[in-house]
Parts: sequence; structure tokens; C-alpha cells
Amino acid sequence: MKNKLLYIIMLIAIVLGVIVICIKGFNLSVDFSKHQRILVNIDTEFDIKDMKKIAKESFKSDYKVRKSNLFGTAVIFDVKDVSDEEIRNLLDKINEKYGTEYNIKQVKLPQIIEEMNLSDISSMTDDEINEKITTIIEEYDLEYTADELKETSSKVRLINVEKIKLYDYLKPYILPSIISFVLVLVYFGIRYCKLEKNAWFKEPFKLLIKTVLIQLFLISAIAITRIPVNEYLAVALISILMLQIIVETVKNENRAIAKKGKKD
Amino acid sequence: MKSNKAIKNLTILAVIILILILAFISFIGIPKNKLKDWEKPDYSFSKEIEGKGVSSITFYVDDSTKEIEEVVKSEDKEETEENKSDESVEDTVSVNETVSTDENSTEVADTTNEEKSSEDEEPETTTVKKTVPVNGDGVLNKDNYKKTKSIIQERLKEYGITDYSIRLNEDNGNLNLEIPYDHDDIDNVVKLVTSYGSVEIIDTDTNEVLLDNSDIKNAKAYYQPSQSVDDGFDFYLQFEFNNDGLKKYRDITKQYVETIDSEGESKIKSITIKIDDEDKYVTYFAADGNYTYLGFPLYQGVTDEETLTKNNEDTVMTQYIINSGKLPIVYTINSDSVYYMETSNVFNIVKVSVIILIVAVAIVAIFMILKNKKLGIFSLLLEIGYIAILLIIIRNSNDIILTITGLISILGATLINYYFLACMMKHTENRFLVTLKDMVLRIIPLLLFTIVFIYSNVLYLESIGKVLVWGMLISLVYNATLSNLLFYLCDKETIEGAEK
Repeated sequence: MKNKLLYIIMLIAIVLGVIVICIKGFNLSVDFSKHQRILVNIDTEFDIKDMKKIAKESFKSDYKVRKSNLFGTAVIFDVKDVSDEEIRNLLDKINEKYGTEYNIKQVKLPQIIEEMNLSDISSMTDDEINEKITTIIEEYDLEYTADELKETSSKVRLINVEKIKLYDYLKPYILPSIISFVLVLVYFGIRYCKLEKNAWFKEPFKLLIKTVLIQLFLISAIAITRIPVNEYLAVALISILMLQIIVETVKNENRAIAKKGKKD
Repeated sequence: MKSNKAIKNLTILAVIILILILAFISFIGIPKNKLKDWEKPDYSFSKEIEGKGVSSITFYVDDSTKEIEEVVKSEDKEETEENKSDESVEDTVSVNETVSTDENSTEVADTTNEEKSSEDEEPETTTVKKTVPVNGDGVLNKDNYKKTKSIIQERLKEYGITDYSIRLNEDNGNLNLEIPYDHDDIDNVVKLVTSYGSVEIIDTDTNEVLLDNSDIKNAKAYYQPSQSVDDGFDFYLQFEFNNDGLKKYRDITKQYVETIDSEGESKIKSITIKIDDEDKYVTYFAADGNYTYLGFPLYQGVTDEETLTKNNEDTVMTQYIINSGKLPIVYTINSDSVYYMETSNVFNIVKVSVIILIVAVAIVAIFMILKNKKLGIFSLLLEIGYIAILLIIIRNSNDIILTITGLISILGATLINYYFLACMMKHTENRFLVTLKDMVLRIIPLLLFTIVFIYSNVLYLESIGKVLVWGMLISLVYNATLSNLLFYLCDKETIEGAEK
């Protein structure tokens, strides 16, 4: 009875999970989702805690802060959704603390150059450059001078970071997990074939169903509770799979001992 | 009788001291320089634990152009001339399929068969230079971006980097790779991604393509002592062909040989092996030879150590690149492509793992001591000894990289060993063997997982596999010897027997 109730709860959770995944998808962590990266060279060593504080005050969505270059003088902010206003806030705070003079135009320039194919701007005529400047004002609401557009080295950059496909991340884990699981199913079929009638088939089948249910339940629970999906998802799923296998094996061994005891 | 008891007590004491020494070596280290320094090999941690950081490399779809030479027959040439007059300069330079109007190209155009053609009435052929985009318009599409990505993933796997993340911008094809920071790896990874992987075996005289990637089953790198330089080495690449390729190759080996004409002059017809449009080797075959593989040196007579390593690496990389297939798209990097990023752990994973391990052992120990009294205390001591040995092995093993899964596996192995000890305490006769039989049956499924994981080539899984396999092996040996001995000596009956 207890088991039935448990299975029903699991099935309901799985159905809900599928609906949530279809409608909203997983709540991907910053690393896994499409996000924007702001790279700022401070040119002096800094305490990452200060940067985290600045980020906390500046960004509304999920973010990640880390040092960037090997000398520890640059910082990277990975932000899920960032507005121009938030970037301005961030730069103001950095300028205030570290005496730098960065502005949003510098941050967005490399991105604009890439998006508008302006890498050969030096070879353009003045009219062409003026036309591009007008387009930039219209599209980005930022006004650059011709000299600013020709400036190639920037100490602050905004980079569009694509999402990591969940399948790409999980792919290496799939085959080894399936191979080992199939081996365990075969072992269950051989080892527990005498536990009951047709146990050679029933035991592996039961294990298969339970495992699929538990794994789907976990995935659904992650989707429903909106726990951020990060690099530890596969680790968690595999750890639980192994734990479940141990529990099932111990249970079956106990059953086998009990059966042997009865016979004796 | 008293001496028997004394011997038993002494043995118990010796075992306890041995365990304490092991724990000391494992947790503190071996004293060095009058107890000032403690020597302890370091663990190999993965990037997220060590905080080694990652290198971010962005690869851009190459939008540059290149010059190619094309042999044009006379009729085609006329057409080309028409094209030249019809099309604007701008169009012809940037568009793939048209001939460049660059004046130099016509100047360098080389009439190769002019004289012969007038005699034999064969069409006149001319070599013309064309400027074409490195990536033609037709290749820049989503399917090719995805195909490129999977080929790059295959190359990284062959190279041995599994701990990476790859991001593809499906709109413009740009790729971003994040790999664990290692200065040497960056150059190699850039080479893996930016190498086109094209192989062409051509007629040296006519440039006719005789064999290409589609005919090659696989490439293999190897080296051997140099035939030309003493103490030097030659680095070879060997092609194995598929069925079609082998047929073509055998025909080639019959045609591209040295012949002697009627005037007694030697004439050699040779092939050129090109990799990524670069001539690598020119060769011909023995007329009576029977060939299956095509092996050729990429580097010859290398003697100094640094160049040996570099050339060996380059040959092996070329093998990976060719075996994973030709990229549909050529990538390039720019000055902003590579930057370093620290890993950003919200907590110290090792510290947290140690705390969890101590708490878990403490909870089990309290339970065991309450249940088994004296044996419970000894089991805690034995467990500490077990953890010490496991950590010594992990530290000294060259191939265990501890990831977060490896740390979880240490906890798992510790608990499995505690379970082993608990089962041993239940029995008094044949304690170890009886427990071993029960334990083996219970851990076979886990063992199956660990063995597959060791060979998975996935760092996180390998870490689980290696730690657990070592954990189980140590548990087996340790419990068969020290635990068995200690429990035997502490048994009530044993002590009573000794007293009697």
C-alpha cells in the first residue's frame, strides 16, 4: 500500500515535471544559460569580495563573479540578464572604488563592432563612418565619435556567451552509465533467478522500472522546484543511481538469505 | 599463561601503534629536516577543486579570403575572359566561384600545355589564380556548425581533454571552449580546432587529386630510429585505406613508379601528400611492390629532446585531426580570443568534504561503540587506519585525479569498510571469510559500475571508479589482516583462552 502511494506520488511528480520542462524548461545556472559576460581590467590587484559586493548591488538577475587574468587584476561578471542601466551602475561603482574611468560605450564597443561588421572601419570613408554612427545611435542608443569607433584595444568588454546544451554536458555520462546498468541488470537476472518464479526476468525488470522512475522523479523534482541546473547534475544523478543499486542489492541478498533459511 | 596474555596485549598494542603511525603519515606526513618540514605528496585535484581556473578560447568563423590556383581548359578560359569583362572588380574578388580580376593573376597564369596542345590538338590548359573566401557561402549553415562542433568534440576527446565545456552560436557559427587552464594545452587546442584536417594525395605533375579523406579509414602516428641521422628519430604518419581507397591506392602504386624509356632515361611519376593544403611528402613506388598502407615521414632525423617532444606531439595531433574527419568550416582566433578565468567555488569543497567525512565516521562510531563496546572502539581505530591507507594510496597514485565525485567516493568507500567491520564483529568463527562472502555478493553491482567507470574516459566517472576500486581492494586486504587480527585478539574467548 505504502509502495503504491509512493509510486503514485512519483508518477504525479513526473507528469508535473514534464509539463514544467515543456513550458518553462529547466532553471539553468548562469554557466549553462545564454548570458552576458562583462570583462573589466582593473590594472591593480583587488579583493574579489569587494567585486561580489559591487555585483550584488548592481545586478538583479543571477550572476557569477571571478578573477580573470593570471595576475588577478581583471574581473569577470557573468550575468543572466543585464540591462544597460545595470552596466552603468556597475561601472560607476568600479570607477568610484578603483579610480578607473570606464563607461558603457567602451564596454559595448567590441560587441557593436562585431555585430555591425565594423572591423575594417579604418578603411571607410567619413560619410560611411557617419552613416554607421547614426545607425549605432538608432540601434544601441549610444553616440560614438569616429575616433572612438577606431579604438581597437579596450580594457572593458561585453561578451555574449552562448548556453551549454544540457545534452552536450550529459552525453559523456550516458554510455558508461548505460553499460554498467545493463551489466547490473544481467547480474540481477543471474544472481536472483531462484528468488521466485521467473525471477531471472522479474528482478532485472523491477530494478529497471524503479531506476527509471527514481531518475525521472529526480529530474522532475529539479524542474518543479526550479533548483538551478549546474555541472553537478550528472554527479547527483549517478550518485543516487549507485546508492539505489546498493540498496536493491542488499535487499535482494537479505531476501535470498531468508529464502535459504526457510529451505533449511 | 601470563606470558601468553602479555604477548596478546603486546600484539594489540603493536597493531594500534601501526595504525597510529599510518594515520600520522597520512594526515600529517613524514618528518623531514629535524621535524621542521613534513613531507607529504599532494593530491591531484580537478579544476573545480584546485581552483586552477579555466582558459576561455573563442573561435570565429574565418571570413578571410585565400588565393587558389586552378587549371582552366581553353573553352573554360574563354568563358573566364567573358566573366572578367562582365563582372565588376568588387564582385569577383569577394565571390567564391569567379576568377579574380587581379592583374597579377593573369600575369602569373601559366600555359602548361600550349606547345603540346598544338601538336596533339588537346585543349590548351592555363593555371589561373582565384581569390576565394576561406569558407564559401554554401558552407555557412547550422548543419555544418553542428557538424564542426561534434568533430571538435571528437578531437578533444582523442587529445584527452574531457573536462571542457563547448558553446556554439548557431546564428554565426562562433564557438567558445572552456578548458582547464594549462598553458601548453592552449596552443594544442587552438591547433585542434583551427586545423581543417584535409588530406589530399595528388599527382605531383598535374595536381590531379588521386585520394582524399573519403578514402582513408584511419591515420596512425609512429616514430622509429632515423635512417639518415645517427641517434635521430623519424616521425611517421601511416594511412590505412577503406575498401574503395585501397583499390585506388593499389592502382596508384602500379602507376606512380620509376620507368626507363626507350632511350634508357629514367622517368619518375610521383605523388604528393598534402595535409591542409601544405605539401608534406613527395614519393613514388617500387614497380614490383605490394602496398596496403601508406606511411610517410612528417619529420626526419630529429635529435634534440625539445624538438623530439614537439614533433611527436605534432604528429600525434595530426593523427587525431585526420581521424576525426575534415571540418566543414575553417575557424580562426583573434587577439581577444583567449583569456583566463578563475573557478568560482562558493565554498571550499575539500574542507566541506573533510567535515562531512568526520561527521559521518563519528556518527557511525558512536553507534558502533554503543552497540559493541570495546570492539566498537577498535573498529573506530581500524576505520581511521583504513582511511589513512586509502588516502596514502590516492596521494601516491599518479592517475587518480580527485573530483567532487572522487571525494564522495572516499566517503562511500569509508562507509563500505565500516559496514564490512560491522559485519565482521557479528561473527566469531571464520569471521573474515564469512563476512567476505556476504560482502562480495553485496558489492558486485557496485564493482561492475566502478570497472566500467574506470575505462569511461570521463574524469568525474574515472575518479569514482578508481577511488572505489582502490577502496574495495584496500578494505579486503586490510580487513583480512589487521582487522581480523585485532578482532581475534580482542575476542572474549581468545582472551579467556589465553588466561587459561
